[in-house]
Amino acid sequence: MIRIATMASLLLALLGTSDALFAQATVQGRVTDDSGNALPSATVMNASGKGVFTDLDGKYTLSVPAGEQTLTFSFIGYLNTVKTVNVNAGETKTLNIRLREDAVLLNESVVVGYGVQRKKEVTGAIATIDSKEITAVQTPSFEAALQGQAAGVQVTQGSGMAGSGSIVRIRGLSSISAGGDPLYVVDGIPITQDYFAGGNSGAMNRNPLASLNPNDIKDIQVLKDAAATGIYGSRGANGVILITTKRGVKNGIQVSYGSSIGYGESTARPNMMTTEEYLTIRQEAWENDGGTGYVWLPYLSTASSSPEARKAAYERALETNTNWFDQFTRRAQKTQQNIGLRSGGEKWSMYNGVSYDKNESYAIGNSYTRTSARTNFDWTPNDKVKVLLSGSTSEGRNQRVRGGWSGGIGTAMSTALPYMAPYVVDSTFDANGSLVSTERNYELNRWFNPMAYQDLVQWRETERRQIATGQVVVTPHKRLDIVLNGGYDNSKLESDSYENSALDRTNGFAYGNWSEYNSRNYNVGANATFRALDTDTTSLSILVGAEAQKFESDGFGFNLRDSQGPAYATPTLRDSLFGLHDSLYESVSTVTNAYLNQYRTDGFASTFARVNYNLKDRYFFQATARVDGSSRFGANNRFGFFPSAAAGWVISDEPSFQSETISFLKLRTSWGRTGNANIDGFSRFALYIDQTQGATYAGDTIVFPTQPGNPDLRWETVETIDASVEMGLWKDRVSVELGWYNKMASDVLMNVELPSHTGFNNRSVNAGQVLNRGVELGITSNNLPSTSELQWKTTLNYAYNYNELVSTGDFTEDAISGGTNDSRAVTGAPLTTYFLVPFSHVDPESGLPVYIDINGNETFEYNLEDRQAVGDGLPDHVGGLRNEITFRNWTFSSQFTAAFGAKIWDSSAKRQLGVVTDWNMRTDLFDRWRQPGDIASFPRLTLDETTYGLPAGFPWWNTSLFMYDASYVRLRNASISYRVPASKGNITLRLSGNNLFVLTNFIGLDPELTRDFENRQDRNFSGGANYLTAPQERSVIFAINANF
Amino acid sequence: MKTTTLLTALVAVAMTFAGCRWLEVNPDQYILAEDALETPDDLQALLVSCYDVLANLYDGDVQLMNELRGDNPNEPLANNDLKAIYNRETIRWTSYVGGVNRDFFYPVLRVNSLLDSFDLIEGLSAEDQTRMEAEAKFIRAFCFWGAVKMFAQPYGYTEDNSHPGIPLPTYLRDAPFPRATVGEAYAQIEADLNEAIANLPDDNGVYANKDAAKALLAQVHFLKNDFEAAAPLATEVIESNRYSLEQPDTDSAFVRMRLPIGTTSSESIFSVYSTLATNDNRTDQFVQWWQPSANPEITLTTTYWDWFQQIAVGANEDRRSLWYEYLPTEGKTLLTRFTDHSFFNVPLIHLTQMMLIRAECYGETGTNLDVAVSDINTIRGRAGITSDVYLLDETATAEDVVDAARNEYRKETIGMGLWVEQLQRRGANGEDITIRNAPWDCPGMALQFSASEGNVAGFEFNEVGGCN
Repeated sequence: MIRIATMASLLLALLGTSDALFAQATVQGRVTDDSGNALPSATVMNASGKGVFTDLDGKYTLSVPAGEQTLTFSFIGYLNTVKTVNVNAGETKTLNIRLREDAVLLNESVVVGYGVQRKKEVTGAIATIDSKEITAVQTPSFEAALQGQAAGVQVTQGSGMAGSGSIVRIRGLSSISAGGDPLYVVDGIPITQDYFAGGNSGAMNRNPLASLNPNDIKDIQVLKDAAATGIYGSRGANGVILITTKRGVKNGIQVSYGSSIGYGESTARPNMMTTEEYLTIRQEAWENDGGTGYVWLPYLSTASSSPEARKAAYERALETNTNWFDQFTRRAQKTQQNIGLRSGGEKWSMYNGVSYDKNESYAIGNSYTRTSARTNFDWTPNDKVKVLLSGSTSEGRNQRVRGGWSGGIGTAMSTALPYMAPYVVDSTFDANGSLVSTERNYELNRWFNPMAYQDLVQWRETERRQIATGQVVVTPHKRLDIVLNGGYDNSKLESDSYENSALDRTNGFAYGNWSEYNSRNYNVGANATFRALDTDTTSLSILVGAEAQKFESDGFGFNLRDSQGPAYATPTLRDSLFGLHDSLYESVSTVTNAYLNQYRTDGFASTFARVNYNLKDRYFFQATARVDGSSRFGANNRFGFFPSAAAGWVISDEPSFQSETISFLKLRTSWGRTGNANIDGFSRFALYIDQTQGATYAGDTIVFPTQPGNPDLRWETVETIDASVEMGLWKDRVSVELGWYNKMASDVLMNVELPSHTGFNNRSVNAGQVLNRGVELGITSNNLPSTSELQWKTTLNYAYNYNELVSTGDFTEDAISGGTNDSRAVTGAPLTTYFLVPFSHVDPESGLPVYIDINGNETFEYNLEDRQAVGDGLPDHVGGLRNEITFRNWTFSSQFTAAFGAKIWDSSAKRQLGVVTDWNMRTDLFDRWRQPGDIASFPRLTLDETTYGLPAGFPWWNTSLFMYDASYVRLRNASISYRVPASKGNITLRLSGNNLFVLTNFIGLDPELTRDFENRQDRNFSGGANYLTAPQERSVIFAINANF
Repeated sequence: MKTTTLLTALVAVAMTFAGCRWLEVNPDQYILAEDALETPDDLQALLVSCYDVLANLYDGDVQLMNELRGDNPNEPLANNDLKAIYNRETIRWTSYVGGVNRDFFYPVLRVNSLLDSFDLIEGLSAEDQTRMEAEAKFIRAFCFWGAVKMFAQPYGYTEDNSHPGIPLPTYLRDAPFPRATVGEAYAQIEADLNEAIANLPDDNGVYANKDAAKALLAQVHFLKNDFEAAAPLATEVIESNRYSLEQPDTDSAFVRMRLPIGTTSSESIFSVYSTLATNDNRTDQFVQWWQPSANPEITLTTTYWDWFQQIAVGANEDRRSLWYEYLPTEGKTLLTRFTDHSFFNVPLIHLTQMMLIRAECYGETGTNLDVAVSDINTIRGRAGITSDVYLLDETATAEDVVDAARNEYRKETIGMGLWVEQLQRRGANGEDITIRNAPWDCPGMALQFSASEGNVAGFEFNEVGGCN
């Protein structure tokens, strides 16, 4: 295509000499894309072949003979537009044109690992998402915007808490204990993605992607199959996400400015009971259990209180009715500003971007503020050398509040009872009766009052991150490119919290807790591409390369007694904390605890090669091979070999192919092996701990084994077969991509819990086998002719995935679990399977729960030995539907996303809908059994867990009663935008709404959720588990974007 | 250009080699297993770590669990796991029990690691090696014995003791061990103890010595109802004259009898130690659960108190009443002796125990009754019981001796979890024993193993419940 463009320009130049032969007129105007962005170097040509290119602003001026002129406007990747205009001699007419994207040809160039290929010759499964789609949806973090954008890319959004991350799964889930997330590569460098740097404190994991500015992203490529990911070898088993940032332009300046404001609120409100409702339910339970008189109430009376005392407590309770969810939530405000500057000269170009994004969540006190800056600089001193430098720095400041199991909104859905007041105001008056002061007094019990924690705790996490990459491309020969690259990714995560002394009733101490976690990631690499053969129809190119990566992390922390405030608000304190670190923090008596996080390091070293052979520009072959070494494996298994082979055939380019309907047809298939080593770097080592950890016995030194190690630990490998067909219909107005894949993961890494008599707790082994098999369909359709003023584009994607845990070796279900979430490794069932006692129904006569035992018989006995695989959290079907309708300057777009077939395990419903305890409950419980003959969803109420067959004192009811269908269809985004006509550049105003509604049968808050996880394994296993998880956010955003 | 190309190629090669170096990593804050045990001191530190875990295990945990299986305490107040133990309804997920199950095998792993490492150590004297091996086997026996008493039916439950016991990991291997029979467990324990007796020194500081192994083996034989084997071993320990009964002269000293801190009890044969200097307290669970000041989780029954009173009629004489606070209106008795002080050494084997075991053995065999009577009277005398009415005389029958020995044993070891095993032993010996209205051998008396044991297919769990 580039060659054709060059020839066209020569032709244009030649034709330009014949102007003087006719009476002339002028047509001028501006060529833009759908969004009004200038298209520089677009071609404008009349019927006789005279033409010009548009300039940097998309403007053109074309002298034409007077009379009727038919002009053709064209640009690579866009459909040609033909317009007829009448011009008189000497007249100048203005004709502004918007070109529409060409479905197939748009992605003419596709970024692949270590290079760029024409889409036509790509033999792997790669989805491209451009910047528009990423920035169109307001999400806490850019990866959330990938949802519904590409077939086979399942994105489950995080909660509504500020800065929360999503779970991205590409073609299902293959890993058990090793990370199941895709590899993220920014400008060619794999970045650090540690979700557990801060553990799950406050019931939220760190989101390492939140610090990336979506406005800096040019496009994102998702590599799905082995042909695409094979070049990343050991890192590619769960797919690869390539992020390319914006770069400068040659000989000019472009400025883009964006600003937005908006507000957000919770998509759903929990239906917690009011005081009256709760007391009614509790009283009924009490009476069902044989109690007489008034029921006892947590915090106000006890089961052994006298009837009079219970009555008094009951009456007192009725005086208060607190909606705790309201106490913790608000209408959140959002604001964002960003400026991008693209500039360049003859030999250099530069992109500069700065942004400020303050994103409050609907949880009071919670916000994520990202400030970022990026500079990408390209220098081409001569035609043989090119230097590309990129640097970004960002600060993500998360003003944290507790959530989930840790407090705040989670408490509002659990232990905050409606008859507890958040606080009372204690007023002090002087002798004249004038109010002197007021103070919040936190009723009823400060220890359990979540409002006290809300008001008296300050907590901020700050991540500072710098990513720098550099690349030198040397072309010593026209057939040879040599690339040297290096990258550095540095991240410092500080957590800084302060508890007011009022919270410590015993000693009155104010506690400060300060910690930092540092990670550093170094990359170096070199590769060379040799184009051995390069003719018009046939080419052969060979890529060879090597790269290495080193990752380091460390950290430390202090607990301070008598802290003066949060360190972030007290610079001297913060300085002294740094000083403490230097002096080993021993001299300060108020330090109650100081700890060093272990210094950890691991490394990768790899060599790789790729051969691409293009025969007759319609038969394409690719083979890749990569050898990876990882420090995570011992010398005997350190290196893994990951090959792939792929072929593509563009049938529509066969001379014999004739079709009016099918304009493009390509078949491709691939096989390959990829790997995964995303485990704790030290798993393989047999380790001892000595007294440096502080332990002695009777004053004597001790040393002991702590980890069994596994010197034979090796790569988890995935073999993938892929077969796909790509089709363009009706001159590519409609493009279709249909794919099938089969992924079998073997030697799957499992961190198994060992039998207690081994003397060790856990061990990493390669024991699992996991199958993923599925189909994917993507359709892009321009529904109306390109000549129509009304344009309507539809993009549909759909994926089906079958997941099965084929084997776990000798280990049983309980050897691998998803933290506290009741998901287990059940062979023959999908990963994420919930392993629960099946619930059958409520017995109409007794009102007692009826279970299904291991033999399939109904029973009143609740026995954990009867646990079975009852459902799983992986959706079978996921999809997205996007529509964009453009009329003149107006554009309307909508984005639906959907998932079917997954189940939610509503773990917190065990207490919200189960035994009546000291938790508030949900009004769903009204559908309970009350008298013989009742057909009810929930059994007879009780305060005594043994009524349901639970062990005494164990109200955690692991039954499928609380498992629900998580299928949903959601209007993820709808927007309307207006492009203000402007002589230079363009201004677009956009109003968009996110998460406007969801259709689901799930009776809880949100069928799409991501809770906090304890570790990688939990993250893999518990995607569909809910535990007091905050619902997602609904937001409305008004944005202005200007490009000059 | 050639220079640039050459330079580029050189940089590429250099980077590749640099990358390979990054593959060599070391977990700095840990010690690689292959580097951990190089010197005799390392091995000694590993050995000490076994005592360290034992001290965590016996900081009240094991003692409390065994008390709860017996008939001395009331049902625990609130803790569900403790209630499950009391109600003999432990399941795989009773985490308190699972944790103790695991704790018993940490020392075993360390012992096996130590036994496997002698070849690696340079400069280890034959004498030290012999001692360490003997200490290690003593600890292994102690743990196997502690575990088999809790997680299996007692010795004698089946005639040939072929009923399931516990896994017996006696060497290092990756694959798990199946449950051995109780007979096999006792055989292993005896083998280890016999080696320990042969090789342990007479004096070994705070660590196990020859007497400890003998005394432990005496108890093992006793629980097998093998009185002929138990008595001589107990006698050897008693007659070594290395131990003497404490004779507290004040009430407060009496409360702290056998529970010293900063010194060693004169009657301690084997104890675990708390260390004031390092603020190293190994009595957490005693203090936590028996703490009387705030409505304690664990209290003794009125029945127990009535029994205590009845046996020592004129109980005003029995100074051991200082260990209790009786709350008749609340139907409970507080055991206060652990709670006056949070630091103490915990006696695991002591002279009083040896004397009473021997006395009971003599009673059972009808031999040396005079010695038995003398021992029992000595213990009663120390408790302030001086009236002839309450002391045995030369006319005491073998039965009298057995009864008296048992009663003194129950009193002297209250809170130490040593009573239930005696009830089970007697049940296995044919006595009609019920423990809180359930037969001594009802299924739930054997605590359930940790769920983790089932993580590898094929493990045989205990039957649940069946005692209520």
